[in-house]
Amino acid sequence: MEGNYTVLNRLTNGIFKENPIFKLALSMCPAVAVTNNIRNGVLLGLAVLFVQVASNCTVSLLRRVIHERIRIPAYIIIIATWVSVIDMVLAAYVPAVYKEVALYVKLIVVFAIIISRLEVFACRNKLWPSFWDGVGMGVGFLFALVMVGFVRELLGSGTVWGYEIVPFRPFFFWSLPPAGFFAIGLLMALFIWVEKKFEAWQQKRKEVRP
Amino acid sequence: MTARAFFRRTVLLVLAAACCAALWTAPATPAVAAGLITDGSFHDDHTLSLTLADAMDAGWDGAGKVTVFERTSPDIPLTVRSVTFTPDRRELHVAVEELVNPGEAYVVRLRDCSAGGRAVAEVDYTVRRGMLAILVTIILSASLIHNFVFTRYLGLCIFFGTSGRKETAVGMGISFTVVMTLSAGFIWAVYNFVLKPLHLDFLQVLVFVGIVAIFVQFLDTVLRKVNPFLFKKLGVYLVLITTNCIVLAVPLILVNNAYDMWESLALALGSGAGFALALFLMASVRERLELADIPGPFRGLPIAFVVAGLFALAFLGFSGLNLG
Amino acid sequence: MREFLKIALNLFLISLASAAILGLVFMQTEKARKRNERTRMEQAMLTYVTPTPGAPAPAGVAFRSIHRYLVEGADGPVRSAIGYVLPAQTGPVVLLLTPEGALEKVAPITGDHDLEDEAERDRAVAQALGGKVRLTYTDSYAVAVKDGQRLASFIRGRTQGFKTWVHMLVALSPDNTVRGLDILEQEEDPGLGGDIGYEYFRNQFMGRTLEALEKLKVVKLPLPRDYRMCLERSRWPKLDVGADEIERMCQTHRDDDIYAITGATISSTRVTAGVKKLVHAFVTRMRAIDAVAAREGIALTF
Repeated sequence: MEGNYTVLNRLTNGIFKENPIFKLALSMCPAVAVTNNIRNGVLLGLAVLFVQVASNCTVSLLRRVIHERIRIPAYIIIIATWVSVIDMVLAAYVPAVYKEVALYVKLIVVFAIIISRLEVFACRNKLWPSFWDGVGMGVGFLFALVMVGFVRELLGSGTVWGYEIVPFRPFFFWSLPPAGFFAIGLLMALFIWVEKKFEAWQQKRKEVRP
Repeated sequence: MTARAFFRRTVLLVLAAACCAALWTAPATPAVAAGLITDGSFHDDHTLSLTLADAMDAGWDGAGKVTVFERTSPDIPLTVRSVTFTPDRRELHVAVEELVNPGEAYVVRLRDCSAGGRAVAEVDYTVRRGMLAILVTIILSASLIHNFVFTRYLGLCIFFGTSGRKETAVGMGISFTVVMTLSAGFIWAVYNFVLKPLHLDFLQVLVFVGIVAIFVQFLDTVLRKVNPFLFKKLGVYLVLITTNCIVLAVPLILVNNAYDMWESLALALGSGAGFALALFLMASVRERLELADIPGPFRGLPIAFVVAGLFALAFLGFSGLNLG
Repeated sequence: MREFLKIALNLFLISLASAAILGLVFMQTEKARKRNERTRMEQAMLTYVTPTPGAPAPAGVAFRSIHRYLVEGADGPVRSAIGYVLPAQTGPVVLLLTPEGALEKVAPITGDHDLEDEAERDRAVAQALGGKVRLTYTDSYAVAVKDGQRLASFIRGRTQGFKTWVHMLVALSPDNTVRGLDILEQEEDPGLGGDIGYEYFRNQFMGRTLEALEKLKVVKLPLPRDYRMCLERSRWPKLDVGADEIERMCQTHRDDDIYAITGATISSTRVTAGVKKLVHAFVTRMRAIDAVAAREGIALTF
């Protein structure tokens, strides 16, 4: 079932329609744990983006080689390989930031979002759509992490990307780790609310101008 | 075969294996220092206590004759503040100026003492936390203080996915604990006997995930054949376990901390218990939430997140719980 | 059966390919990782080489490392000794001292070893000491030297925090006054104990002499506003206060005790106790090493 997928379609699908965190609610561990500042969120988001794109491409290329019955173990091996690669590269070249997210980078292996994309999309599609699907999902994940990180860093420490916005900590509570849950819960509700309004608006437009 | 018989047999098998492993790994009992001191423990933040085989003779009050140092720093003696006895003179408390950390080992050295008519020129005793205490600490720490869901924020996908009903929560909790404990023991062995000696540390992630996946597949096949009843109850959860972050986090943590086999098993057990507890708590709340009147956009997952946040705040209270 | 073989071969090939890729990447990145780790550490230490923290360091500063081992008999310790891996002018040596500071043995380390690599160093030390001993690596110190002059010394150590270990770097001047404290790794609660890594807490240790440090206490009082301004050095350029005004603020609070972090008294107390302990141990040990080296005529390169 190789359908017609455009680049734009894949990107918006990953960022809005099937946003891994706000809509699919998959792989939320890092979204809660490391998002008390944007920098961590961006680093981890980029790592996920890389792993998603690389595994999507690999699986898509090997989709006729991998035996049907061992596809899940094979996917896991492929993901684990790319995760180990990015893990070693980050540890070597950005040691300072890596220290804070080290455990979570290794845990990308078991992120449900990646394997589910391989199973749902990459193993049935050609290289190019798979690549863009990976980019879309990765960017969607990055987008969600940055959103949560932005809200928490601004409210918790009064800074954005380490730059001071207000000279004090407005709501100290938001830097505490449990606030990650609240931030995601609230943003998720916001996402749903905006989407509903948008749909209603579209509906109305259709009715006015049939 | 009934489910109960299967359980009994499994438990027996695991116990037997554990005994064999214990006999094999048990360290040679350290030579007890000249037989005078039979036991030592941490009394409080500044005090170590020693139990003696005989009552210490009345003349010896310990002034200037007791030295305490960290095992790794024999050249930096701690400042001994006081040495006191219990009335029967069979137990002495050595108070030091510095803060004593139960995670470290301390050597207490007594000089020129005599007990029960026996004179001893010098005797050392190493006070460290007992094996059982260490294991209990690890289990409590992994399940409450560093609860994997509420304070380490791991395994959330499965957590939110299976905490809708109490029944599912219990099933998931049990299957997860079993798989985690078995695979942690296996992973510990593979890491220490294969990966470390061969300097293949960079294959960690690959090997650990592989082992968990194989274990899940193996249990799935075995359970299906041996006990279809149990399989029907727990089988669905087995597949989900492979995408639970905790199954990978536990091996990584036990490798980082250089845990031995028992410590690794305790960590796995604690993490499983903590996960099961979190699932059960959450399921109880979510069952009631279904009847509550929640604003539209919050229905379903968003409110679950807010609830989890409240739980996490409550669990923050466990942090720093003193287990000494 | 053929089906089975095919599957097995398929899986085996995939694993083999991935292991090969990982091996290649590992060989490429491992060296860079170690080098970057060291540069990062040296950057942190360079900040404290001059008496004013953060001032540009003079050219030609070299760092010499001292590594400490606990050396015990193979069958449990009766009397343990301490082995120091030191850079001498004739090449690295292991100096084995009794706990009281008397010399037991000087063993040269022969062969080409990278002593900054933990595994390799362990092997080199075991080889140098020979015989049946049990070695436990404990900690490392570093001394910054230029033209045979000691500019600063550094302690890398850890102490029990509120939750887990807190790893830190303490910088000392040649007369053992604290130049600065860096928190390298910690897992305290962010926003509470996590603040031990912030300037307003760790800079309170700056300028404490050895005597002052021994009497240092932790007080549960709010941090005075002007002292906070003085401590947050990275914000000085943003303040509209003159340099002499800041200097005056710092002088007023120079002898204050350590102000505990709000809501994290235990973290503050433990870190303070840790700094005291580390500095005390370092000073005692350096005195022992210097005394033995002078007595035995061992020319050290620091």
